[in-house]
Amino acid sequence: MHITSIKIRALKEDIQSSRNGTLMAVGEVVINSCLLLRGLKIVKGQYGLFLSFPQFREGAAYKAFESTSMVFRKFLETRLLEAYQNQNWNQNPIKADDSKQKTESSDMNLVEAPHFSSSSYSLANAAVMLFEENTSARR
Amino acid sequence: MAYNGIKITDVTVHPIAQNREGNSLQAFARVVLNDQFVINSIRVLNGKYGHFIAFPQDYKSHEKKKGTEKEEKRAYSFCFPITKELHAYISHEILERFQHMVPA
Repeated sequence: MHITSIKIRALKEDIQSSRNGTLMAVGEVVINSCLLLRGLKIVKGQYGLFLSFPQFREGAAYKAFESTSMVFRKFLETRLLEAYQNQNWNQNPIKADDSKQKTESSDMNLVEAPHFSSSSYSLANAAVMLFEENTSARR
Repeated sequence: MAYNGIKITDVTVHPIAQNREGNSLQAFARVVLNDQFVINSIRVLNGKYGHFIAFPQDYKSHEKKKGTEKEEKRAYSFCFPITKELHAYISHEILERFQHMVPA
């Protein structure tokens, strides 16, 4: 299973502050160009950013979809965090009273994530490479 | 059988026991893809032209518009196939298991 496209929407500052500043962005992923996953959340925790799968009710443990393997979960997480951090939200942050940037949904701002290059190797990419090795071995 | 690198490795169906008459909801299903990924809360519904499946949805309340008293709730789909073939593949696997468990 591979990712064909990623979309990230960062929350505006006023909405972030109303939620104690924990929910940073909402993502949307297409897998194998045929399965769409929505409502993936990027949350700021005590030890940094992490990926959270969507629930039916807030605070409930029951998820709409989830990953059973840690490798696949890390793979999704690294790709989404990469897409979020490549956007440089801090350089031109979305201001609460900027009426020009308002979209139809009015609380989120849609930005298409750029295409990723696999040339830059880091510790985070190790999980991705491990995942790709595992899937190629299975075939 | 697999479609575009996605293979269903496990299907569990939980039919509703002592279902009341006229209820279109027949069962809940869970699907495992490639031993890695789980989709919970797929519903099996009874329609006019037979059984079909519905993918996980939630109803979220939106902000009230000015001048409207009624609270508006919109459906939000978490996860669904965007090609006809994958939808047919998943629904075939689930409905086959469902009809095996609950003979009509």
